[in-house]
Amino acid sequence: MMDVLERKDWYVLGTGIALGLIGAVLAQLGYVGLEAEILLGFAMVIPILPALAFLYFTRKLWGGDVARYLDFIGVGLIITLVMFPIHLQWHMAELAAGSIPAWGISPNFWYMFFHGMTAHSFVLIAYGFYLFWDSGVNR
Amino acid sequence: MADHTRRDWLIGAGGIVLVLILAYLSHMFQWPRVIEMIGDLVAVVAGLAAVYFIYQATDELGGQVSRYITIMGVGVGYYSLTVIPHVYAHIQGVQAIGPISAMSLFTWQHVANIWVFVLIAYALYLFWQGGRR
Repeated sequence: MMDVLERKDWYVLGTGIALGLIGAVLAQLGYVGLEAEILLGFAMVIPILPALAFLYFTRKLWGGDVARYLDFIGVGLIITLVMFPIHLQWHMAELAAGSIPAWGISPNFWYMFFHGMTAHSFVLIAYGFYLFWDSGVNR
Repeated sequence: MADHTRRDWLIGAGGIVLVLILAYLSHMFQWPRVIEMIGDLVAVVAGLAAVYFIYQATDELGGQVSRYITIMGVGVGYYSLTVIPHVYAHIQGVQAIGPISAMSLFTWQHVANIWVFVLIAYALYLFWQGGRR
């Protein structure tokens, strides 16, 4: 599977792994505060925006079944884009004020809703890739 | 409605309905917090399943499309792996797992997650450019 990657792909992959480890070491040494860590959490959704733009151009270009497979991946990304900042904000409010109702709805509902939607976004993305596989099998 | 369209809607919208039902049940029966781990576990399993499907698909499809989806697969797999220690630390409320502080773990996870979506954007950019040639 990994032998299809080109040299520059490995540089991109390696950079991300290195950045994660650098961040972890800096945090372990006490250089990353709670505010910075929370900002990093919110920053996760920023690259989803260009990802969705490229996905849209790709599906428009390829069309057909490929567009259908990409649509599942795209919906999974959109769910993450929309839900994650709200989810994270809710956890922060919970840290600050304790486990209290939000908009009159119990925390139990929100626990299951946010984490359930995260799971669903992954299921949709996995299904999109399943369809890619299935398309190759059924050619 | 074509068969696959019906199935697509069942999976897409059906999943959202299922989540809402479970969330309502959690509210009604006051399920304990540990139940939210089920959502995270499903996310991890789905992420690893995505990697498996991509591995199988690269064998079948070959060429540049294999390259694009492999890059996405690395991202999705990496995301799945970072969830596990993060969830453990959150649910247990621990300040450290062994010598590694919770802050270090969360920072690693958040940086990794940013990079996951950068990878996915990169792969989709390549996919788009590949189609233009």
